[in-house]
Amino acid sequence: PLLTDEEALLPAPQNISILSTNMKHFLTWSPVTVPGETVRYSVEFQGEYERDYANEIWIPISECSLITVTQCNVTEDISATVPYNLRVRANLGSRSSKWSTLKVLFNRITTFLTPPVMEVSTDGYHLLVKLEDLGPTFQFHIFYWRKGQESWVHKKTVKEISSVVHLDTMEAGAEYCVKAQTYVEAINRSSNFSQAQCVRGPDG
Amino acid sequence: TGNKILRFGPCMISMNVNEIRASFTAIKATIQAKDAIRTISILSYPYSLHNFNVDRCCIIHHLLRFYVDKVFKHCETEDSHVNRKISSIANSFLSIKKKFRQCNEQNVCDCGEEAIEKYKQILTNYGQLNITSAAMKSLGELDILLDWMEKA
Amino acid sequence: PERSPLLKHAAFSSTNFENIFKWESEAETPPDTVYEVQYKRYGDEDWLQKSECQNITQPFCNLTHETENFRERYYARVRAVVQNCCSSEWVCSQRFYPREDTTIGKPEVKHIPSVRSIKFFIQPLYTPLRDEDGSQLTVEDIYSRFGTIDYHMTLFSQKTHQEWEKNENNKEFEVSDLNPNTEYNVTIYLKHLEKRSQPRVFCVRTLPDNTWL
Repeated sequence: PLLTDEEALLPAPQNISILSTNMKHFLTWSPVTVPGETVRYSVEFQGEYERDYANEIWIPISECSLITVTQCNVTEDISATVPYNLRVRANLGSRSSKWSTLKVLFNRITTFLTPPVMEVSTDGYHLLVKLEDLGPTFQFHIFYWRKGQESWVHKKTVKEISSVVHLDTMEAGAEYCVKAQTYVEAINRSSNFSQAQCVRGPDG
Repeated sequence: TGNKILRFGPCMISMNVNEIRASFTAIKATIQAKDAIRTISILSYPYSLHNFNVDRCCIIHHLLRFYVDKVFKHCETEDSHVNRKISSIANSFLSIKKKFRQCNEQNVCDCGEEAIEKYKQILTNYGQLNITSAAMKSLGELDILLDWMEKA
Repeated sequence: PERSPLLKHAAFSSTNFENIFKWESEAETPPDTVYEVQYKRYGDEDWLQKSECQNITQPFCNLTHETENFRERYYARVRAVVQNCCSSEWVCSQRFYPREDTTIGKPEVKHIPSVRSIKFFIQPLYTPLRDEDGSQLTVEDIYSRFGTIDYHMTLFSQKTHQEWEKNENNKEFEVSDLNPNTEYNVTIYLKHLEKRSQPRVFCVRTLPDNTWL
């Protein structure tokens, strides 16, 4: 089809895709370049509800309205485990390009979960672990065992992290190992385990 | 985090109530302030949902459909933040509704007389107002439904 | 001519289910201004008068027993009346839902230090509400009907300058394997679903180890 002058001047953004890690979802696209001009972009989303029950309306993301960067954090709006569609268009003054839409709908169930960053330590006889805070959607399954008693593994689930977590009190001179994985209830998925770390308690 | 396995009769549904609550809490004051009619309630007194505990599967099935079909689409506001939270709640309800459909196909969600009467009462309450007021009031009472759902 | 003062910020202020309806009026309020308070359950037809809060001068009214069903929702409203003049518009609270809107106060915590451990005893948090048989209800009594309650403790050692946290689901627990004669900063709060009490913050010192003296 013949493009009008308006569209011919302002192509739609290309290579639109979603980068999703640890339940943080970012829409990215390639820049539209017009020499000597600052092109801006606007992003909208559409959940399954909007498609099936609300006349396929699109909802603007105000934080990504007329932005100059080629990325938008859509985490707050992708907040249900259903397929979402996203689109972006370029704006230059009063002119707008066509919308570019995701080729494949995005469901947060596909997010990439990384093993948690973990630091095991002791405070006297107390076995402690510090975990990276990944936000309210994350739990941590922590497994710890006394070296040499690998068949007797203890498990602790931590739902909220504000500081170092107390796991247990250690026996004098014993060495303990710890590993952890994240678990996201909303999508019922876990990450791989972190590398096990071992520490020794004080001698008696 | 708050994902829970909630039991509704034969159906055991895992749902993240806390995400829905968080979205609702973010807009509760705004939505409830738009509801100036304090003499009528859809889900609470005098026909408080929390006093109703039979045929839970039937009631939740109907209420999910009620909210998805009758409520969310009539709640658009002039506030983009509120609209985005309503979308979040609506899509979460849709996700739960789909899980129910799977359960329903395998099990029978009994609808006894009491449950049918209860749902009729809710529709009667809803029918006393114009569509937008009724939808906004129903949305403002979402915490009543969530409390009842978590009683499973 | 005199006119009725404007009222604002009419809202419930609630801690441990003691529900006080409060409001403010603008700066210059005629000296003989009094207030009238009404309340209702959400869904009820009529507003009810709170008899003890008619023609009052203080800017608050205790509606604890009028709003004691923590499963229901309520509204309260107030207006100012200037004698021989006029009355203001009613100013209404937001919808008040005691179970969610009440603040859980700081738990009282008894603690007994030993040389290498400290025992903690969390005291019940009483509410003004009573059970069917008249016994006073605690915050734990009420919330345990809706889900589990546990106690979150953070401990900071003044000796090792390390801080760590633990969850306990009993009101009585002991932390052992501590250092003797050491000051610990302790923070304890109550957790129920997404609700948190105000934190109780205090210090406690373990006893000196005199075994070798």
